[in-house]
Amino acid sequence: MKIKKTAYLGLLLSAALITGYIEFLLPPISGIPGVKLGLSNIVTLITMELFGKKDAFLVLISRILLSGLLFGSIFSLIFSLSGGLLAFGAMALSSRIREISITGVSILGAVAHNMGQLIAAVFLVKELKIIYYGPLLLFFGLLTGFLTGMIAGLVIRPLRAAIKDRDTVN
Amino acid sequence: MKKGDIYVALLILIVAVLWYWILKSGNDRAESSGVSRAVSISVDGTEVMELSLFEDRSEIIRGVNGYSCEVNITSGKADVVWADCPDKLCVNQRAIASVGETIVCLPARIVIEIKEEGEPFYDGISGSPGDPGGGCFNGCVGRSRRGAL
Repeated sequence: MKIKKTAYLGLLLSAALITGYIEFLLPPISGIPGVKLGLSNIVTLITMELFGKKDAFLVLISRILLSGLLFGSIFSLIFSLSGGLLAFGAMALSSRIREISITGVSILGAVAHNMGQLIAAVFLVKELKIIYYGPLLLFFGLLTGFLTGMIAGLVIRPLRAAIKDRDTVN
Repeated sequence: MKKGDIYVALLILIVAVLWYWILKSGNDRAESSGVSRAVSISVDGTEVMELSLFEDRSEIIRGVNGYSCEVNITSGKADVVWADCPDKLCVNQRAIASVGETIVCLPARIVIEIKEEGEPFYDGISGSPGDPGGGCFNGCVGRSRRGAL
């Protein structure tokens, strides 16, 4: 059964890479750097829900490294890592709180991701003024987190059912 | 959606508003004490011009790789109105007026930033081969290199 899980995680990883690429193709949402839809986070949420935090972390790190190596530069890698790790931490912690649904987890993840990138930007570009983007990034994180959280919520139930079916058939 | 989600959203909104207020009051205090805003234009990391935000003016900036752009300062705002670079992202960006706001032309390595008059320009463009520079922290849209995911 471990092979089966590896296969599923591989699929999820591919999905994350593809959603990242789709985002790249879409026009930028606003003039503000760092604002994006964060669609890849849907995959992280799904993986966390269906397979648990450890596997979700594995998929996340793999996705960041792969896309950084394949398509990005050392700089994009650093930003991805900083955003991704902080987002994962926020999501892992908040998913334990029963009063928060996957939407709330997603919002916190998106916001944490943006803050991670903000911090990385301040250090890399050595420009403290970047902190002025803070409020806007928080607001957009809230919006995109809400959107991706809703999508994840819709997709998780049928996915969970599909995985269960496959397992019983075999 | 659960009850906790609403609290999360509210918390984030409150933090955002607080953050904005703190920055704004810092700016307002600086401005009322006589420091006014300036437009700092730099090419390839070095400041080439500092203009007052409140004197209407138009300048053509020559950047790297033969690309130029035209910066307009009118009614307390700075905007890029023309550029001969391939992506024209700088022209599409909205006019800036608040301290910290920037407009960047990546191919030309031109950075237009609002800062407090007289403050030294912080050179944030680190140089390394292949580094697009200019604080492109969500990746460089429009270039062959992919952005951060």
